[in-house]
Amino acid sequence: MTDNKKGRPGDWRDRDRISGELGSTMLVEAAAGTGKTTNMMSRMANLVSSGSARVENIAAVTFTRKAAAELRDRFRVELEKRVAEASGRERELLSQALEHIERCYIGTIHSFCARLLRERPIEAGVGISFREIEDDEDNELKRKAWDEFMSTLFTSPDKLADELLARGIYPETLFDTFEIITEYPDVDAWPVGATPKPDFAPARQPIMDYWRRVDELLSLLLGTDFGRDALMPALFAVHRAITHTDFKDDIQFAALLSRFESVPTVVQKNWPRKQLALDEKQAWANISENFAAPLVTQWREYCYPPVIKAVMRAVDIYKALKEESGGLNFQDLLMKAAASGVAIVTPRTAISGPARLSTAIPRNVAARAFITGAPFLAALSSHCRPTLLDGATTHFSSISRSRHTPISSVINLFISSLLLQIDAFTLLTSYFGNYIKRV
Amino acid sequence: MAENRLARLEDESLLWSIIEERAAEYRELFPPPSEPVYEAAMENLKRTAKIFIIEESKLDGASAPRYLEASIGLPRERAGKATPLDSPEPVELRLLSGSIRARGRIDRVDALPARGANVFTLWDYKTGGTYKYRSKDPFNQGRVAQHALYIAIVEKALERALKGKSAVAGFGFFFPSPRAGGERLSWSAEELADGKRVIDAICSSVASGSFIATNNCDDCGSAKYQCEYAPICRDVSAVANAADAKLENQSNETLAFQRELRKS
Repeated sequence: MTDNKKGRPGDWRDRDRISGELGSTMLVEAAAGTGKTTNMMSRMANLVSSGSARVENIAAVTFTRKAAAELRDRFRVELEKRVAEASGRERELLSQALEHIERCYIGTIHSFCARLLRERPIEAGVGISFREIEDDEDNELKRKAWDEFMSTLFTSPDKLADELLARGIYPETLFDTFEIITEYPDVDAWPVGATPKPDFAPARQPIMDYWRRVDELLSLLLGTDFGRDALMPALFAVHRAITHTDFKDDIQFAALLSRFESVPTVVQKNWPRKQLALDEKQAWANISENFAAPLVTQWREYCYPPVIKAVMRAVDIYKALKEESGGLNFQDLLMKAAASGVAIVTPRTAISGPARLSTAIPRNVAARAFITGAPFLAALSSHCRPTLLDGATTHFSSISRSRHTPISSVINLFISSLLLQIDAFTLLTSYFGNYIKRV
Repeated sequence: MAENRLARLEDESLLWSIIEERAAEYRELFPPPSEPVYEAAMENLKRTAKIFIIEESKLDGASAPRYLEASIGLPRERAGKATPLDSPEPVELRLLSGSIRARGRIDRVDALPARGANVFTLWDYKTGGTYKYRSKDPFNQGRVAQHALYIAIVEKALERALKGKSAVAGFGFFFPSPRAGGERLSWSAEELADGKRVIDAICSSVASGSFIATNNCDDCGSAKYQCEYAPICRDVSAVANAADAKLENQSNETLAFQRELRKS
């Protein structure tokens, strides 16, 4: 391998390290299409052909069933190809691997965790006959838990429902928040600071003045084809909304201000005059930045504590129902496996001494663990602590692609436990499809 | 109610007392779980009523309510002033490929004094949001036909009741809820002229006996407000994609009417 070898991707050195440095534990971050699976498969085949590991000592973990199936097929094809090309001891090792390929663990992270838990249910604190439940059943449990929560909310002595209603929040509208939170059981605390109710007084006069401005403007815009312009219809809507709002009612006023949170798109050519469009966009932006954004944020922070209190109560009911049913969803599998200690190993022992997954837990859990498809770096840098309800979804979605995976569980399981000591960090940057085409 | 527009200041207190009275009746029938729940529901109702009055007052007599809850082909739902349009008999509407018998309860038939005698417009009150009705195509690919159908029904009922010359000039949805903010979406009869073809395609599609799933999973609602049949479809997106593929298949003649609605 030389630097000037043509037809290789720019990061070929990293790729060679992945497939060739078999004594190191590596963390590889790579985007879709960069060749993670190919490199992983190549490393697995090298482990076998070099005698570093036998197939039964390899665990290859993916995030989706599809990826696992693909990896399994490709690993078989790779071994077949190498058997045909190899000779001597190498051929013998590869032939053995091919013969016992079904002993190689290639599956999803969820089934991997389920396997760990089935072998050590007592240590993991799960029922001996626990079931893995699919999304449909899980959703049904959520719905049942929510119904139970709603049926007791209004009679609970702490008057939680009243607290919500006093902030203009109808409890039944919190179901989606409840669903979001159930997706992230690894967030062990949802901090709720007490934020005082915002003082809307400074915004009232500017909003009234703004209404006068819009009132004069609307006659100019009547009959205009808005096209894709979003500001003009928004002006009509806020003009109406201001006339409907009782300015002394904080709930109504907060709802009115929330209409100004973002600045609508302006298509200047659709306006009677271009300068008018620019001026009106600026006027809207002033209200948005100076009053709406800060006050609405503070209002939401003020609303947040009872929301979280209510939703967590529903989450507790859901957890109880799930436990009663003996079901574990995908997140539970990860969480339980990570928390139970069944995956705790002395890393160096595990890495230097390959062992059978099926017999040696917890001392030698798995010699080589690989993971593909997980947004690891993002996971490492983000620990979920949303302070705003509205921000929660965005915050989470950025760190959790594929299934909604409890990231800290994955970290616990694969970094703290299996791969505690990472010898090398590698980043794949070349799009592998291009490389294949060039070759 | 008189034929004139609701006067905001005069009618506000009257409306409050009607709301209180009716709410008290319903409270007996369906006791609320707690006082704050009742108060929150009342607050929402009163805000809706207030938006209604404010928006009505803006019409300023240009559209004057003439007949309320006209029950065409239906018994009157509540005690109230009967209208000349009321009839237990449905009306017969001629379509392109046959005729149908139609009935409906029209929230409001307004006179348009500026357009001449016996020229009317229709209003339908909506408690929800405007999303479904916002499409540039007033029929939203066959999802909305109420406006055209109501115009056709009222035209027939007017013919039957007034015997003389009459016309329905337009139709509007009115959304007085706080969420929808008192918006009105309205169309002239000319803008809805294609309605007969749309209604014909819908009826023909029913008559053909083929009931295909929607080809757009936006119709199935969000996670929060999902269609109650979604659990039957399970993967709604896959079902919608399959339906779309069937509609794309020009040789599938059974779906010709649905194709006309969704793909034309």
